[in-house]
Amino acid sequence: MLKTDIAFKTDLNKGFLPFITAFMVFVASITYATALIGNSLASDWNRHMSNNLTIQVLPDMRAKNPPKEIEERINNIKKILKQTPGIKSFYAMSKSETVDLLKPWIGDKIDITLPRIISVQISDVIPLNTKTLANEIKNYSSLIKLETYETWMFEFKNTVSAVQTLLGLIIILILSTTAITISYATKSGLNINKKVINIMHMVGATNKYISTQFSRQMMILAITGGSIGYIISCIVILIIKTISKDISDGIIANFEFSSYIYLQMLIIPIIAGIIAKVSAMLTIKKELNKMV
Amino acid sequence: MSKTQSDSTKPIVSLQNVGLRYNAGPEVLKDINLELKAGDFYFLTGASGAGKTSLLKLLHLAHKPTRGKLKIFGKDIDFIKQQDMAHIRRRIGIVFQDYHLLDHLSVLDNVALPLRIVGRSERYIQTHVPELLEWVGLKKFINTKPKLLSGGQQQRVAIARAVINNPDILIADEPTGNVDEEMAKKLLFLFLELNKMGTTVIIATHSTNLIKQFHFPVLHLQDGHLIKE
Ligand SMILES: Nc1ncnc2c1ncn2[C@@H]1O[C@H](COP(=O)(O)OP(=O)(O)O)[C@@H](O)[C@H]1O
Ligand SMILES: [Mg+2]
Repeated sequence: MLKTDIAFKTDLNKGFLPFITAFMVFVASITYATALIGNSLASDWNRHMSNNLTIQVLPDMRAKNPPKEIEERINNIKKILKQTPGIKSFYAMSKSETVDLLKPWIGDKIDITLPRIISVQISDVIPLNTKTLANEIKNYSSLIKLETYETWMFEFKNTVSAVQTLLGLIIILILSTTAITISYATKSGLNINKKVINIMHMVGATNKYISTQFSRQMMILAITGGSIGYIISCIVILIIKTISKDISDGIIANFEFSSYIYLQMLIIPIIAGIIAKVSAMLTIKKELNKMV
Repeated sequence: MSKTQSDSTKPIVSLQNVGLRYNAGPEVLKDINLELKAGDFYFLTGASGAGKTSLLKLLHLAHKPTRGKLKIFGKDIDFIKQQDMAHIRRRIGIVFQDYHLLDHLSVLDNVALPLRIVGRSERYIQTHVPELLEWVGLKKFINTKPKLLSGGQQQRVAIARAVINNPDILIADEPTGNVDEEMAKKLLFLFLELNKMGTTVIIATHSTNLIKQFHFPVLHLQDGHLIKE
């Protein structure tokens, strides 16, 4: 497969074509890797975020005894939470904890009743219907707010998928440019090889044979370049991975991606090779029909 | 290697009232009528510019006649596709006046070209090509590029390429023009060898010596007309 019967002259293409495909494959692979990393990052976050929700309990200032009333409501919320399937655990911050938390800003001599927070861990196994829970809580009291990350995540996901669409378009653009470049390189290659092709015709080569041989040679050049581009992009990703591990420690929870990514990136040089073969083949067919 | 020798009376090449002109130029070949049968051997003579090369190129489908009918192996070349053309050419060995060798390939690869395009194995190529090159005295130059060879040596490479696939028709355009008399004779014996196995041979030549020695019929071109002598 990776050998031609007949060596065509490659003076021009020998350097140019592998270089250009190396570059294209490099850019496309990095872009693709970015999309993949973004994807895994987003789903990591999604998993992480969607495991938590917060319930904010606001004091009712019109109640006779707001501090007592808020405790009552918190206890009732706890009961509701206990009965709701899909909740792993929850934790209601006590009054003193809340005061401690806010002390630096408002001091410890506080008269007003502070809002209180219940943080809820959602089960990984049993699905939680957040809508039902939100309704239940709202029906119970308008001074209780359920904050899920769903609304926020929705926008986040939209952004991520928009970015990914963009990256996808960039990859398509790069690959199309590769196809066009290869088509031009093929044309110039055919021009250099006019005499070779003429003589091949003279000794009885069919157009099919010539185009198969020639496009194979173009594909070999493209695969050579593609492999170089792929290897360079793997090295770059490895470096980014190493550096980002140090930086991101503590900032982003799970900025790690599996080495599987290198395997996934391999699709790019493979696609480039196929594109090289096909666009060379089509160009040759067209050009040979002009020659005969 | 099978040769279609079945019907030796049926022409393998026939030209009827064939005329050829280049672009808007004068007709260089006029009313050519010719039939070649399996096993024929002809010399083609004529002054320089008489149209010998043009006629041989017609037989090799390098040009189409501007008028008349040309049939090769029973196929009317007015109605054939590129693929058929390729298959016809595989059965015709041609030695061009200017050799038409590929400078970037070795002598071996040049001669192997017709074998490669028909899908002969590398093993076949590595045994048969050196054998033939030895016969034409080029064993030493197997891996040499044609540019480094003398005109006569290049001519022999071209001859080797033309005969390597054991063609049904061998066309040679002044194949002995650049070699000494002894080599010319040797090459003629090679053509004769092929001819004995049924190959139709047509050789354009100026050498009255060869014509005298080998006693084959002569086709003579004059003012674009073909005269059988
Ligand atoms: N490709 C061509 N284009 C135009 N005229 C040509 C071409 N090839 C040959 N001729 C003309 O055709 C005539 C015959 O040429 P050619 O067949 O080469 O003769 P010979 O081989 O007998 O010397 C000459 O007048 C030559 O100038
Ligand atoms: Mg001539």
